[in-house]
Order: sequence, then structure tokens, then C-alpha cells
Amino acid sequence: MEQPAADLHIHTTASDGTLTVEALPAAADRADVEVVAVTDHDRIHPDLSAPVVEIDGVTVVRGIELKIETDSQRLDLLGYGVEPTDALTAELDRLQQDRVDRAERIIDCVESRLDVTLDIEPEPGIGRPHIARAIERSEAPYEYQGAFDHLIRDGGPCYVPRSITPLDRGIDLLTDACPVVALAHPLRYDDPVAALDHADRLDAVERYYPYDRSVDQTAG
Amino acid sequence: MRLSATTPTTDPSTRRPVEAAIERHDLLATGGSDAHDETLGLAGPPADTVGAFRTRLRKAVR
Repeated sequence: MEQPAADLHIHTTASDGTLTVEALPAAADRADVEVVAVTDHDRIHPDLSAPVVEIDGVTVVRGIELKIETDSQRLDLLGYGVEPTDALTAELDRLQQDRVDRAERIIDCVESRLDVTLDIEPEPGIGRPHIARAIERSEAPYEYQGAFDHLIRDGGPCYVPRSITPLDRGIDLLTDACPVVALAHPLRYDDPVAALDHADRLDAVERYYPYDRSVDQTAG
Repeated sequence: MRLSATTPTTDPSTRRPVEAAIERHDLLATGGSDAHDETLGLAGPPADTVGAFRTRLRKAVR
């Protein structure tokens, strides 16, 4: 594959990633990319002050990854250069509150089920990976993957579903707030062709994606 | 078409619907690594595509 000049899909500590904005320029330099888009789940990074900023010579695009629900499957949209509208801000606030409420219910379930205490405080950006890491750190007999497999996977004993934005609403919210909206990783869905049927309403499709790598598929 | 977890996504026939959608609707071909750690650049658009992406953003935020 041709050398990437940009990485337009990354997660930071504002959601379930480990990279900070402070460490981003060095990480971009190591990867030899000149443009990086910060696309946290359901959240606009609070430390990026404009749709596009330069940090230590790296162009950083403020973005977002928003999960949406169609009649048949869930898809992920990537919004780039986001300047949030009031409607988008309200929806993201709602989603983040839902994440916090849902995390509290999952944590309560795990703690009572295993009689352990998890060292984790639900806050905006929280997802199941954070809880899995806390389970791994606790006295519970599970490491990260085991926590998912035995407790918090979809349908697991401590699984709690979260609120997902409907398709039309999600596309409208992002196209009003972002000059470029992309369909993320089309080949990761159960039905890629059905997913691509929505591409005519978008600006871009995520053509370059490390499908051969085991990525975190459990961000919800 | 349904893909299983083991479907080789590098297979040209698997990727064809993606290329077709981009061409049919004249879309930007974007991409990234979906990094959750500090390793960036595992995937992403080449320089010529990044230029078109930058242009689209610049027009919007000016």
C-alpha cells in the first residue's frame, strides 16, 4: 500500500483511546503523517479549539465518530472539521449522559455479581473498554478479553445496551456541522453493500483501513 | 453480500463495492488506522487524496 500521508481516524483519551493531544504530534511524526483527524466516539475533543488546528507542525482535524442505526444494522460515521451546531451539541450531551448512566449500571452488575470493587468513575467518554480494563485491574478473575467474553459482551450477563442515534438524524446532524462526512470502515459491517447504499448522502468513504489488524471492535 | 470475520478484505472482489460507490458518487477516499493506542499511520490516504481533503475543509472553514 502507498505510504499514508494522513491518519483520519484515531481515538484519544477523550473516548476509549490512550493517546493524548499532547502526545499526538510525536506519534504523527513517528508514523510520518502530516494530517491527523481526532475522531473520538460520540464526542468532540474538548482540547481542540477549532475545526482545524496546527500543533507542532501537524495539522489536526477536529472530528467525531458517531454510531448510527439503520433498519438492519449499525454503522459508524466520521465527521471532519466539526463546528458543532446546537442540535449536535445537544445530541452528544444526551449520548454522553447515556454512556455514564449505562456504565454505572454495568459496573453495579459486575461488582455485585463478582463481589468485587472496580476502581473506575463513570465520566463522559466512558465505554466498555474502560470497564474491561478496570475489571482486569480488580480482584475479579478476568483479564480484559475475559471481562468482555464472560460479562459485558453484547448479550452478556452484565451487558446494558446504549442509545444509538437513528440513521437520518445522524446524517443530518453531521452534515450540518461538518464539511466532510464519511462512512467508516465499510467492510466491517455485516452487510457492506447495504451500508454503501447510504454513501450517496455522504462526502467520503473510508477506503483505507487496516482490516487485517485486530482492532478494538467493542468501543460501544 | 455478507462478509464473515474471515473474509479476506484485501481481495479485490471484496473491495469492489467500495471502489464502485466512491466512483459512482464522486466521493473522497478517506481512511485511517482506527488507532486506540499511540501507533498511528497503519492506514490512511496517500498525499494526493489528502490534498483534496484539505481543500474541502479549507473552503468550509474560511
